[in-house]
Amino acid sequence: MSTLEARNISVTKTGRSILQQVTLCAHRSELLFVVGPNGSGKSTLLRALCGLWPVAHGQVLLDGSPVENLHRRLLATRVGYVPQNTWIDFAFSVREIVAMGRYPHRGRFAPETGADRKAIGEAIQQCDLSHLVERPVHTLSGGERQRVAIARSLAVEPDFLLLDEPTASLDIEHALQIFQLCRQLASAGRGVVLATHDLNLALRYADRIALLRDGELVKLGSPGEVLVPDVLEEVFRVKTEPVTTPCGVTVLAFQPLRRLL
Amino acid sequence: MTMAGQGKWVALSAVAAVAAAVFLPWIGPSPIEFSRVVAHQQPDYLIFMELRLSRTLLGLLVGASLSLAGALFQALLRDSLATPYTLGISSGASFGAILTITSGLPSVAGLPAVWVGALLGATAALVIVAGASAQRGQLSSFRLLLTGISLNGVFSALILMVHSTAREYRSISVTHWLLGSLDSIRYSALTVFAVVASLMAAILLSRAKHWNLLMVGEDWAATRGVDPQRLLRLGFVCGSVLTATAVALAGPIGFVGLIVPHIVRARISADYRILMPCSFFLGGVLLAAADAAGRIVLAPAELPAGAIMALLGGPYLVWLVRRRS
Repeated sequence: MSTLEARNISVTKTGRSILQQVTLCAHRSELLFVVGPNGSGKSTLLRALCGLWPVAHGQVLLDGSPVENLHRRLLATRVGYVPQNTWIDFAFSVREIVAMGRYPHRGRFAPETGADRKAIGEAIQQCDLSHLVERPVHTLSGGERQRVAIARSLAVEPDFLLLDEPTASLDIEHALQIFQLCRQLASAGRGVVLATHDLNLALRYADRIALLRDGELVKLGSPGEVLVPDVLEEVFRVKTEPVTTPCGVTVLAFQPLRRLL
Repeated sequence: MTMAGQGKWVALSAVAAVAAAVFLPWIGPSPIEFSRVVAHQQPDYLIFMELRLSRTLLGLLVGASLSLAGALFQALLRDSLATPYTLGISSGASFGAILTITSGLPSVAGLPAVWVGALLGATAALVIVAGASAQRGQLSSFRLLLTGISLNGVFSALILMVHSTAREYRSISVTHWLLGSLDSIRYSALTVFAVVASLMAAILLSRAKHWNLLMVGEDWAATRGVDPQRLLRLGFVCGSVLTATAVALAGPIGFVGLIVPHIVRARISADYRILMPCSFFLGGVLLAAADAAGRIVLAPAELPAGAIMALLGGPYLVWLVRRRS
């Protein structure tokens, strides 16, 4: 069973400690959410997991072997990453961008193979971009761009897909589509790690949730274990009331602890 | 457009470059005849070989080098306004060249002094820009851009200073050089330039996919199996060598490095596998053609190629940008 594991990792940036002794293990066929207040280290954790940020202590392991020992290109074909900021100011077409996800799969001059075209086509379809393939990315709306960013990482056909707040700029329809897509990817055997601020969607879609605060892992477990009023009040400083709707969906209603004057 | 359709553009650009080398030498103020050139009859043969052909080839190489460097810097800095000028490398090379012109040195270590000056100037600019914008060994494109623009200002001021204190007859040659003009050149020098430019072009083109990734984002490039820091360093060294040799031989010819990649991006493809070779060939064609036009529009006076490029290139770029937005 394939795993992507952070083992007791600490990360420092310009002398400041961002993550402290975080241990968690992402499995395939699992949708793992990373939540926490702003500045709690969610992005840094994802960046460390895909080998972008060197860890000061501890190790990141893919199937038990440290990622820093893996060849960049090998790692690139196994772990996909969707960064937070995906602004592209140049006239690449949607298809060209998605096709770049396949670069590490081939040599420098090798043309696209049938497998490449299939992966690119599927990624485009899964992200609902078929009608936009020839459009230059800089003419797309924010939500469409975000879907392109996700599609280019899906084209990698990674074992693990890491997404940093992928729905931050999406309307609710497309946000739900992305979460459903992540759910499907997990069901199809990939491991998906997703950082988000949307606790309600985390509650609904996550298999497990990692809750961070000030760079420390506060709680790791099922949504029912992590997203409980006591924990949320301590970490986010909000009152939480779970409400179950008539159609059986549980949502969290939030109230600030103190009313602003 | 399919990859094959785009590949056709690369072939077409290469054909255009060859056509330019064949036809442009025949354009000029004094008419020369094909039959007399073939029969090695003077003065036609001398004009063709020593003046027109070498100058056309120089134009092709300078235009190609500067366009390729422009396309490269646009990817390295993820900024569509980046050129060898934006980074201060071109002005560093100019300052070095002008120092050698005003000092009156004919040659250093067997090489023309202007070359050596330009190369040293470009290297100095690169070291300063990279040194000032690196933090803990990491280069950031934002800091590079700001440092480059500041350095540009400093070098421009230094050039003005040297220029205004130079003797009168040297001041004229400085002015001429600063306008960016192509002059006839010895074939030995041309060969060295051709080898350097081809080598740099080969290194850069072999990494075309990597420039694509870098263009889309450093972080993302890093998760696609490339080392962005190594790629940035390689790019800056190759781009500086291309710029320094071009500036040393032709002076600071602007616009070609900005405009050609833009035209190719707008009309052909943003994919660096296509954009780089097309910019290389078409940049050469454009500059050689501008130079040929400069030989005849005000004949017997000559308009420097750099002036023609700026006169036509500026308005065209404005039009292109307006139409696209």
